[in-house]
Amino acid sequence: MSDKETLLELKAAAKELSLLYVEDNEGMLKSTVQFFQKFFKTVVSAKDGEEGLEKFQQQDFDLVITDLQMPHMNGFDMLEMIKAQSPHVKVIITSAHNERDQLHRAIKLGVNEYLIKPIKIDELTKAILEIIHVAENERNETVLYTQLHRVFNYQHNFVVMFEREEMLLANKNLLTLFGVYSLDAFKNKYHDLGEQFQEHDDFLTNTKAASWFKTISENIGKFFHVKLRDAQGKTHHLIVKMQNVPNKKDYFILSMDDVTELDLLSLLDKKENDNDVIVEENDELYKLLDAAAKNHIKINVHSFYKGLSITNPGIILEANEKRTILTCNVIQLKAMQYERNVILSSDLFPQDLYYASVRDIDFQAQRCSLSMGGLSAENATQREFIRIEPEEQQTVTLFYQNRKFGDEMKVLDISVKAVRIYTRHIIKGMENDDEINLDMVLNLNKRAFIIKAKGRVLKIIERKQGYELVINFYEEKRNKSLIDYVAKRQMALIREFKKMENSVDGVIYKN
Amino acid sequence: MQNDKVLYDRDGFKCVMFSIDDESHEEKFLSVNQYLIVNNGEGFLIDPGCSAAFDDVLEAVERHMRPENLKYISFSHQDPDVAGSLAEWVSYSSAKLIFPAIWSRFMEHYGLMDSSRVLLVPDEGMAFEFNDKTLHFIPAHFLHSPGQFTIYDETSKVLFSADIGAAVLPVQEANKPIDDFDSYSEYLLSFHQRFMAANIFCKAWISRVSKFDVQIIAPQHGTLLTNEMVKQFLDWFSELKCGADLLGKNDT
Repeated sequence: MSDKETLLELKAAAKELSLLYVEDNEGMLKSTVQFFQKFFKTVVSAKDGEEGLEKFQQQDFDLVITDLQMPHMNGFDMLEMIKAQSPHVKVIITSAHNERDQLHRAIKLGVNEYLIKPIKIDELTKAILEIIHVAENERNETVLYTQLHRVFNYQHNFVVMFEREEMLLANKNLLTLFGVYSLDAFKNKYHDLGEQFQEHDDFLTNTKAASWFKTISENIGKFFHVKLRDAQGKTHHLIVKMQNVPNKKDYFILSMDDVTELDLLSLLDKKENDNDVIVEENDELYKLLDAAAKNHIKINVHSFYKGLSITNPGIILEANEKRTILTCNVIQLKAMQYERNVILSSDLFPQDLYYASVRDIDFQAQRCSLSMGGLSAENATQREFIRIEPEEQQTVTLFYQNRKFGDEMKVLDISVKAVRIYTRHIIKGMENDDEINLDMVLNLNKRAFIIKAKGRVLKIIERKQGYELVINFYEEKRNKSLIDYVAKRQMALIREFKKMENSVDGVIYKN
Repeated sequence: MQNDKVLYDRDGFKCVMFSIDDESHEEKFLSVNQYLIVNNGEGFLIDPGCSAAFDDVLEAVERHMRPENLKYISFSHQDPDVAGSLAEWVSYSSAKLIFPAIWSRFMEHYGLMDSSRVLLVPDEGMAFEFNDKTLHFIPAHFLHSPGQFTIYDETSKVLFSADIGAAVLPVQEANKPIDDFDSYSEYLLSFHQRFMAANIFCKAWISRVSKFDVQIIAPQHGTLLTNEMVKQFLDWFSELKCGADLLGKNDT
């Protein structure tokens, strides 16, 4: 008798599978079918090869168990036809004979198991279980390689398939990286992949709060940076992403791109990263963008309409030294059409990317072409607070050391924390940190907002024609009229932008 | 006016209820509650209310934390008494905004076109790590809004239930603790019958909520439900016929 554990295992493994059982001995057929029905979702029986083939053509089966010597059509003839039709179907032959010719023919047909009658139940259950496991592994590999083909199409790629936190399959590149020949050898030597991830600012690692796996599996599709050492002790910088396997609950694919060559670790190191210059366009940047394009990475596309932040997801379709092709929604394209420049951000990038030129906007295909781009540490996406441009109709009066100024002066933009003011003439004696009082009358849809504010000069910038003053407001007291104005101006800008977005010809030009 | 009611305060973790703004109609009174969770100085504001309430809610927040440390503002659904102050909060703070995924298309009507400031709650809900504490976003679809979520805080064991549990009270009953659920349920009945879509949704929500140890139900309107009132309310709600259940032949 088969042991209870094996039978339970068979029950779990075969509960979704269908079986075709072909046997000409009626007594045996009946009793064996009753036995199989306890385990398989579907059991269909046939009393000879001809009927077996007919039944096979009517529906799909995962497994065929057949006798060989039968009237009308023997088991081999039936199997030849079945294998021609479904080469991957699993087959067990049960036969009273084990002549060499028969065994040879069975091997040629790709039969999975050949059992000699009389069949013992435990022998049969073990054979079926083994075949189900083989089929499962084949399925997993098919899923993996389908995913591989879809998601990763360039060579420096490491791929691992997980069922929950258990590594099921790893591709050869990953095993080679760690100097092992099989996944079992990897598990014996390293236990868990995440244990190899080293600490670096904001990189993916096991933390007290959560394991690396929990973090990444709860952020499907998001990119993380990983630092690890290979078998030779060389440090690698990888960009990793987790994806679900379609229709397979609890299965995940982890893809890891080796970007060590881009030499971004120092750029990504916060302690070293306080430069605010735009980095020159270079090959490394385009390699990074190319990696983003090939992995269909979702990035954020930021535009600013009179200070109103308009941000939507986008995908880089193509990137080379000359241009970056981007796809995003129509609202974002409209905003880009107005501003003619754009900022892209992603966890993948060491800094935001600023493009000074947006061209070839195609609203129907929802794409555009960007050029003159580079890394930029300081830009509008870094703003903590919304900073909007007021309407042209406004007056501003500035009080400095009991003197009053207001001629040829205007508010360029304003937030609840600070204001940027243009002045044609320099204010004599004014220095950073000096105290300023401001009276501003900002119009909004014919309503005047009177905003009184006090603050200190943060910086004075010389422009081609005139100067810009940045004034930080004091924080002790909340300025209700200012908050009210910024919120309402923001709403007004949204309405203004939407009106343009819905315009008949859809064309927006700045100035 | 200070209406702060501290629901939990231990080890740097605090839950506070504000009752700012009301929707008064003759003798009936529908108070609007806002909730603030403070975890080691950082804030999570729940259903901040309408535009007119902004100043008072901000002042209330300031009584418990530095407002620049407000990290998240959640909007359980799209009603103006929940989300009407979105433009003000977006301008005033740099907090991330959390709202149901299906209402993301509405965000521009409330004053936001920047999707990078938004965290969307999927239809199936989610567990959310607020620093070292977990908040469970539990779907409450069609109770009354599709996509609506309620929030269960593991630490304080408070269930922030949005419109579920909302009561329309006579003025003299406002802000009084509940002595007897049966008589209090009269104030719940008409609101829930009118606003909740059908009993099937009540049961679906209760089955999700029953996995958690709820000590307090904190609705967006009306009085807190505490201790044995929690179970009594859930039992009442699970049997409530409402919305489509009450459609008469002439209504279809």
